[in-house]
Amino acid sequence: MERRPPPSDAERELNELRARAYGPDPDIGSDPAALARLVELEAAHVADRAPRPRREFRAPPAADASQTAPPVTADPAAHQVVPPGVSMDEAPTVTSSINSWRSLWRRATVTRSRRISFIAAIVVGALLGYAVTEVLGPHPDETLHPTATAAKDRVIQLMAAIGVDGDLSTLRGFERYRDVEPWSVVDAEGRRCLMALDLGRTTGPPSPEGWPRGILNAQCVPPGTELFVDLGVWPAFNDAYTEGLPDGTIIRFRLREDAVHVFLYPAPEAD
Amino acid sequence: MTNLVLVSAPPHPDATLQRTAAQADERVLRLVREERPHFEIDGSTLRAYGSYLGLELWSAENAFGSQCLMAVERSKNLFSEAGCAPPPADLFIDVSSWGDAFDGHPGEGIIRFFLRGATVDAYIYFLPGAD
Repeated sequence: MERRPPPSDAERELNELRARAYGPDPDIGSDPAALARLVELEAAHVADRAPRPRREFRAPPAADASQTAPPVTADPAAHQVVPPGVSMDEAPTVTSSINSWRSLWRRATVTRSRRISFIAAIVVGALLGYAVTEVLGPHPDETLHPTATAAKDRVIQLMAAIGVDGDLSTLRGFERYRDVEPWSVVDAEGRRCLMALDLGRTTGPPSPEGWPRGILNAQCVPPGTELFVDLGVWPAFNDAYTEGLPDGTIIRFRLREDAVHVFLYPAPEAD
Repeated sequence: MTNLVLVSAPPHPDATLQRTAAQADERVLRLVREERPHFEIDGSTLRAYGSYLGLELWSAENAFGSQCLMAVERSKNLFSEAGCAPPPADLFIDVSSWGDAFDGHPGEGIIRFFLRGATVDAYIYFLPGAD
């Protein structure tokens, strides 16, 4: 009976990472470094086990591929749809691409181990994409940059009124979004705070331009915690920032290193 | 608009609260009506998730097609925190040991409650250096 050599460090690491990715309680999606390492090890593993090619693979010329492609009727994507005015001679690129993918699939799944590696690579790729998305976050609807503002004294007053003992050297204002001006500060305890100030230019008593009327909402969190402030659109209130938005909408402000990201979540339209 | 996860939460919550069959009593219904009337929560949709560190977690739907999440401090007869968000926004609330009438935090910091369908995940964040 053939004895298998003991697993190398890389194999042990790969097995551990695979368990985290495909095991009963996968958690690798929240660990981009581990995911990246798994991708690296999977790639090396596949490369080690794959037979060395005897010659360089070259895709056949497009025209040849269109002539040799087997007819596939089950896959509607394989049918060439030629726009009006375009001859069939101008369309073989689509077939060539499909053939290349079929060839890649055949080569990648010709053995059981290759099938496992190929599917694992797809899963890892999907997890990696998810993790990157989770870490970087979806694209904000607006990005508000720091800005110089003359209303700092007023902001200090408002901040004190809600009990935030901010370190004034950390006080920063950001660009406006719909009559809302976000401000951030680090307080005396080290908490990071985000405040949504109401500029209220379209409703309510007039105020000097850029002179905030009050604080709509504020949140403080320990350092290292993602910091959000939500503003809702409620028919019971008549806040200027809600103008034109459906009731139940929320506007989510997220503090980043040098910007505030805004995410607008409109409420579904009522029937 | 995207329905991707906005919050990169820690990999494991400190607790996961399962939905229970508990019915909302008059106190919770009154809090919904009186503490956050502008949310326009439908009291018949209230669902319980048990208690965590002295807070009762409830979810419900409102008149605007949103889900709402509420942390009830029963001994003080109030909401420590509540929020609503239309789909596909993540729905979470932060209950802090400062300003939210909440004394159950094991130190100083916040607890982020995250509604995930039939469960609510709780993540505890500590303020470094706080006693």
